[in-house]
Amino acid sequence: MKTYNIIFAGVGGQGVITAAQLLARAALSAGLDIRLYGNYGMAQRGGSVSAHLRLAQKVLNARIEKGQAHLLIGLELLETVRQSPLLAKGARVLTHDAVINPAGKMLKGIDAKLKAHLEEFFPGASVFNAVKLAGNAGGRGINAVLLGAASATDGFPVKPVNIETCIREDFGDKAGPVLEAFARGRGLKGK
Amino acid sequence: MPSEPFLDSGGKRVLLLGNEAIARGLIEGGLDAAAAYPGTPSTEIMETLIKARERYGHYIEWSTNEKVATEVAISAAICGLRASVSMKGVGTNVAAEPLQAFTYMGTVGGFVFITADDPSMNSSHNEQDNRYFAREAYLPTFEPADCSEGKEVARRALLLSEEWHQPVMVRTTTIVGHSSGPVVLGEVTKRERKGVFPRNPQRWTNLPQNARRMRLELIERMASIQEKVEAVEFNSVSGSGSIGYIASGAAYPVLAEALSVLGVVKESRVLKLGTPYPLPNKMVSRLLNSCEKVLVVEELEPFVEDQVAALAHRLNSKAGVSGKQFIPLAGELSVGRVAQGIRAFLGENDEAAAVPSEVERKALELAPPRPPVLCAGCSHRNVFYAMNRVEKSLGKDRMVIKPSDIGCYTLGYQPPLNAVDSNFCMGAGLGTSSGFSRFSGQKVIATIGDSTFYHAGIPPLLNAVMNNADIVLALLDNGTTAMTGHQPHPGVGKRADGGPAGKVEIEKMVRACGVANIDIVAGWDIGALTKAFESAVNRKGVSVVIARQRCVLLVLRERRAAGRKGSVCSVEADKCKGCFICIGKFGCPAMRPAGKKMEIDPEACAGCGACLDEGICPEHAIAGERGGLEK
Repeated sequence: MKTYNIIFAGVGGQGVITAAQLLARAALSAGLDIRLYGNYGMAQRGGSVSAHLRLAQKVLNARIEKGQAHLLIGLELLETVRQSPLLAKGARVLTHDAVINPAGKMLKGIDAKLKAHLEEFFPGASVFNAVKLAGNAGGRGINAVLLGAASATDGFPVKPVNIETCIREDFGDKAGPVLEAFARGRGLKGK
Repeated sequence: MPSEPFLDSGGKRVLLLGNEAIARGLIEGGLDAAAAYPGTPSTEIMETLIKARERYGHYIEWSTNEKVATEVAISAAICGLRASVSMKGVGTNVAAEPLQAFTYMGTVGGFVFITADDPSMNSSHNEQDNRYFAREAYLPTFEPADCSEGKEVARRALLLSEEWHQPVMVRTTTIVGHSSGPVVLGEVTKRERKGVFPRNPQRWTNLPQNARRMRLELIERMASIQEKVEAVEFNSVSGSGSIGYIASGAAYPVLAEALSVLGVVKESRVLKLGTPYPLPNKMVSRLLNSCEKVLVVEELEPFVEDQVAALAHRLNSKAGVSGKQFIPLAGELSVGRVAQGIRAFLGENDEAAAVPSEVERKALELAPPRPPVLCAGCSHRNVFYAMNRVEKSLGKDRMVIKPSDIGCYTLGYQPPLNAVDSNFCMGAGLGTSSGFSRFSGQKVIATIGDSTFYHAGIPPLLNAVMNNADIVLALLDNGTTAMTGHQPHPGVGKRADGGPAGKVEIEKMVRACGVANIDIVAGWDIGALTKAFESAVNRKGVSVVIARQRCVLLVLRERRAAGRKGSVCSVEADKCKGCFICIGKFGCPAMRPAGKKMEIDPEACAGCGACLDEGICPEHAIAGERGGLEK
């Protein structure tokens, strides 16, 4: 298997690294080698947060180069666009459509421009409201919806059952709504 | 399954962060005692050791600073125990003196000094390459190539230090400590942990008469270690081509991928280096003898390159040695940067400098930077805002110099506050203040946090008093070491694992330093802060304003745990005229524009009520509870 490269993008506090770790553990339990590199340290104070996740039989280096990622999982639209140069041509983009303004900035009409950017360079990018699909699972549900949607894409190297097992491990008796959000994300296939 | 994978049993393959892997390696190596001062990207090493303490029984402490942490670990090693001390790269500067003394003496128990260097300055203020410090101090150095290797490197380093009777360094970089990968756990054996001080004043007292002898013994010890590093398993050669490569630490996986991407693995012979000091000279010599030319690939300085070039010269080697001629000096290495260097090294016509792609150019245009900001409800913002207000009231020709220090409050540099004029290193804000005030004749208001004050702020405060400085110190007391994740400090009254500890109250400490003028003000109360700064700048001598409010993240965490909802502030829309002065001058991240009016995000607002201050909203349109955070 060729190395499969995933970028996670979001804002401090959204659980970007947590979501990436969950998928990394799921991949590990499926027997893959993985490297996960995230920017820790600044995450709490509302800064940009991203994570690089690479999956293969043997991964050499942890960092994903520009133009090399196969998939981007975005929790916020501005951050999705910020990380978009890491994507390869024809890469898949799955992103929550919310825009969080950087502190003190007032960006007018930015949503449309960001969506146009994704459509121009990554036709078929899925930009959708993950909050609606998250249901009772709240903030964590957004991540689960996106992981579900990712797991339904062509060529995604981790089986849904491995991800579901990790969700059960992490959320225990509160896993129900998160698993439902994950399933709704999977249902987005083809959109 | 245990809650933390690094506590799992031997034989398990688990996902670990590089820093967790290093901690686990120390434990598998029989760690007895660990001390540290928090600093990115090293903090998780100690955090992991703290979480593992109950199961494995080693001693742990957050020390007041890196120097003291090193001294505590040294004392454990002298008593025959296995010890580690960890810190961020620049912490090594603070730790340098005891370490330099200790390397002369040699150790009894294993002693690992862990420095987490930060190429690209992801969260540091320089790219200092502590391998130079290692060589200067005679610290044999191990560099893990990646997160997964971190465990074995830490374990072996601890054991080899004991075997070699020499303190050693483990040097990591951000990508090693902060990436995760699979790690196969080893067994942890129980150890008897009774230290014994081996009384021997001639060995542990470095009066010149002893130190001269120690120096000769040190040189001998290092000569023997020089031979032993040849057999260290983290040094290895792969491939049989005639083009040689040497990669040290984190540069190795980048080089391996670059060679693979370029399709030149067959022609290559690669020495993966795990001990950049001392260099395994025989391995390097064999590589030089079997290659036409050699490229040294390493991050930052030409530390290995210079040694290899000197060795090639001594050997009269025909192989040319290159390095920084092709590999950038600044910043982390990437496959792209290394591949470009290799192409040039191989004499291939280098293409024109890479231009940003269209998608990159447009993304940069669309997405403004999102730097970290002071949290909603953080009292540091109020202090800076009050300082700015007092400076303005003094008039144009009475500019107040505002040196700051290391912590969350360095973010006061960012707009709209723009209230940090200078910043150097831990404690230097206060140290430079005395000088700035004396040499410029201007007023100075320095800012320092509580943890940094205990770490390095006390000697400069004493100095200010001793030398009749004319300064104001704003002591931002949020009751924790916030920037690195809320570690305790001497003013907290808690140990690393949450157990009870001695407590040094900050105002008593300030008073004991000889400061007579001390104001203690609630951190949310901008009016009172303003008054305190006003009277302080109009006074001669050293004045301290202690702005006290617990870190908002801690308060909110407690609220959530208790299932409590605090009050929040809100905007009375009919009063708001949409002037946005609040956002433009104060800039709490809970404030946001909503059409032509301002609104406060109830999810983000911590309810501190600082924004009720009359200067922030000229229309008095903000409603809420003053000081509501702790209510």
